[in-house]
Amino acid sequence: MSKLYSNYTVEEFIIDDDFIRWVKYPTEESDSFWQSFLNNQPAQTSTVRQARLAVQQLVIASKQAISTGEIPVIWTDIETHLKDQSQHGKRSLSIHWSKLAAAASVILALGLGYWWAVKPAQNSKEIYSQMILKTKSPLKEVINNSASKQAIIMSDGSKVVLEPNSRLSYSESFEGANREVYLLGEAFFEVERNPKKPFLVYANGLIAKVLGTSFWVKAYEKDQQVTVLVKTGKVSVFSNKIAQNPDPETAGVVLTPNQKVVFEKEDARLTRTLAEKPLLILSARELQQFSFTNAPIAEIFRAFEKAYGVEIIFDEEVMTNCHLTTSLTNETLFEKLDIICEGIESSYKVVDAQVIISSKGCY
Amino acid sequence: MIYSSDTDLWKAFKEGNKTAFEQLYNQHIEDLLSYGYRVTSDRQLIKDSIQDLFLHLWRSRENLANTDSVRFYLYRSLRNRIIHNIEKNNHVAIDSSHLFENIIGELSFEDDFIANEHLTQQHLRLKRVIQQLPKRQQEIIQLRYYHDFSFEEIVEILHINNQSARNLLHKAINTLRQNLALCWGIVLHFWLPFAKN
Repeated sequence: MSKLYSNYTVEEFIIDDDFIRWVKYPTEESDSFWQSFLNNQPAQTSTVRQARLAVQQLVIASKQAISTGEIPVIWTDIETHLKDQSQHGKRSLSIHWSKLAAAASVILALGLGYWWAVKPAQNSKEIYSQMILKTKSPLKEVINNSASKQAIIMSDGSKVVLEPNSRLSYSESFEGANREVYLLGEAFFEVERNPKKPFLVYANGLIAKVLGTSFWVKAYEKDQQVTVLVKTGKVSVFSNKIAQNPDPETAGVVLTPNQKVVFEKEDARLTRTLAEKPLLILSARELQQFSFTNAPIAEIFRAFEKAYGVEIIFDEEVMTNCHLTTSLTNETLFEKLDIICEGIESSYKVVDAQVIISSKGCY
Repeated sequence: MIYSSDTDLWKAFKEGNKTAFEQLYNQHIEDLLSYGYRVTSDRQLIKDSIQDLFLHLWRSRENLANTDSVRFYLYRSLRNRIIHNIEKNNHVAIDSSHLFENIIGELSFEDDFIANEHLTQQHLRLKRVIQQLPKRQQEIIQLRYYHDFSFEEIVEILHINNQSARNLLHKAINTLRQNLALCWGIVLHFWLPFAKN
């Protein structure tokens, strides 16, 4: 061994297993070995010193620093999954919430009061109860009477956060063609993607159908309107009344990001519009590219379409001479449209989830 | 009850002891996270993979072998999972917001590190140069010098042959030496003889 080491370079010492072991965990035996080696090979002294120092530094510097805040977070996730497993039996091993974030987000909200004033044949709770009675497979009902949110993880890996004073019924096994859940109240859903088994939320006479998405549902008992708002992805929304049709979805609407549908329970009418405050669907980095200096208006509108996922309809020919300097920061979409339209003496309105610009052109 | 030996801990864990499971997690999580960051920069993917790994451990605890190196088992499994998850997600378009978050994440690592560990300028410099190496070279350096795995173990963790592993480490060390020749030279000046007697 000693013979070999006499020709070693610094690099060779650095990667030598026995050498590393001696530097990291010296013993009397290894100390005396290296001491006698250097006594016999004094020419290697400097090389060994350099290599020793290098290893000592590598031991410290090779560790990638981490943020320790993640440690309890991961453990909580593991515990949640284990608890869920013991409650709900076998389920998918891999749940990657990150992937879900790339899916859709929907908000269903119900307007207040009106329903009782017109004396409906059915109230929300009756609809909810009847829907549950009609299902074939046994349902598990979770009622959140507490003051805080309650997390539920379903057998397919989908996650629900149930708000206080809300209840959710669902099949623990999700057998059948669809994954169907029934909501009274408000909940946030993160649905594990499964194109073969659509996820249906029955809420107060409305059905929201998603393949893999995350969304909020607000459907309290006394409420009369249902609103669905999509953040990203696509969600098909249709009325329960027409669900008896062979293909009820054809009478519904498909929502894309920042589109909202208002459902009037009384006449099962769906009205599509835009979110009050459309959210940017681009990342902060992509957004930085959206800065315009004396740019044609068509280019700016196209950027808006991309940034908010909304459709903007305008007469490109009429507006061909309109130029503007703007960026996509701070203001909301509608604030920006206000500013732009004022700048070029135009106006806009929202019709069927599209922004329609009226302009006489620029000179 | 705190299990002092790895073997006792592993045994208790295999018998379904939840406390042992938690201790196993706490003992290894910091180093596993640190290792994960050398394999990929996708922090979410690392977290998901670690979560998968521990859930799998718990669920299949009865079928797991009596391993003489729990650490080796954990690192090899974590790496396999990360690689598997990367391949699984490969067809998904790269989400640039994710990348952006990552850059910020790495900056904050550096801050943590400056705040928490009073390392010398040399260490900082060496650390930065390591950070600039290709991922696999970073990985092998950390496995060898920080995590203390032998060449034989590294070969198995990385799924490469002995010669490739040696070449990889050699390459990494050479690059570091070239970039830090000056730095190491300075330190040598203050270096004291190692032998006490």
